[in-house]
Amino acid sequence: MKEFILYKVIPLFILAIFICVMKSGEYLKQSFTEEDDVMYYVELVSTEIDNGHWSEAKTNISNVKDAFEIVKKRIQFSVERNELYEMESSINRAIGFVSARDVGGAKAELEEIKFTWEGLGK
Amino acid sequence: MNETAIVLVRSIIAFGTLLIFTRFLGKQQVSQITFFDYILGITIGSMAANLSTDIATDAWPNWVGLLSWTVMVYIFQKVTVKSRQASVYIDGEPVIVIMNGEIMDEVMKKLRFRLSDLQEQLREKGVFDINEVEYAVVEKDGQLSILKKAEYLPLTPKDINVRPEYKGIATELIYDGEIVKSNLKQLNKDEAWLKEQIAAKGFNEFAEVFLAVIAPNGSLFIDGFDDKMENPIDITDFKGLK
Repeated sequence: MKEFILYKVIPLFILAIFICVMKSGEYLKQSFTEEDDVMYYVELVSTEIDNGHWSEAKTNISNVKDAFEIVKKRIQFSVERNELYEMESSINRAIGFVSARDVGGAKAELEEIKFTWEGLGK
Repeated sequence: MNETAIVLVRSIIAFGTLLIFTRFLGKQQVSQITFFDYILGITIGSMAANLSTDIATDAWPNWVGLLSWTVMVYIFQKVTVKSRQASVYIDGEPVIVIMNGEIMDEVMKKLRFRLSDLQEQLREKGVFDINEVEYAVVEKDGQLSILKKAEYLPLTPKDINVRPEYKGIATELIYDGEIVKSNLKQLNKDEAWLKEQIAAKGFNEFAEVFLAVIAPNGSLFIDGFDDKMENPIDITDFKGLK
């Protein structure tokens, strides 16, 4: 029994923990509070741009950045570094386009954020 | 993103996985591995290294690669253990390069084994005169095994009809100051007896003894932590350590 625990149960348990850490990205990117709901803020910004509410869009694109900062800490062990950089770059570009009130650029970047988000942790 | 933390976590995963997988693959001796096994080892090690430090890629594909290669090695091991034919086909087999004192040059050509390689390996085995060799075999791992001609073989007790005393394997009784209780029990001895033995060698406590072993014939070897040598021989000529 002791041998079974030492040579079977413990190694399998350790491997299971490793797999959980490596595959946790898709689960951990989901929001657990209001502050870390990246996609909610992205949709909000998109709607506000459609309605021409640029000051609200500016506030909420900052919320996207803050939300992603929270999520990033959770998923950094299970996703590619480049995917995180791509997300950050898209968010920063979107902030620029919203500040410049550029509808086309902002909408394109928001779609890019959604696309990168979909692939994050998969 | 904290790259240090990521590398640390991934290194723990790579280290732990490699340890578990290599234990799973068993105790094939490093000295007996074939060239293919050697390459397998490098490949698996390289994947573990990527898993640990290549944070530009996802950890998961590297881990799956590590798992796949380990499973394939395991299957190969199972197949070669079960089937002699498969073992010869996959791992190759030993080849005789010196037979009855004659170098098999055609065989050596096939093996791409140079005469200088043969001479080098013979020298490594302590043979400087090829005349002394009756048989030489290149093993699967590339090592050379030799059988010297009868007249060059060392004299053994059997040759002069002497029956040496049985040696066997010595048993550890104290290791690094700690009593190995299971061994003591196996030999039907107790701590009081052991204390007597170490006292005879001038030790008062078990903790003073670095190593104590008993041979099957009952002779004891006891070594303490304090090396009581008055004039130890110093073989280093490196001034920095003096």
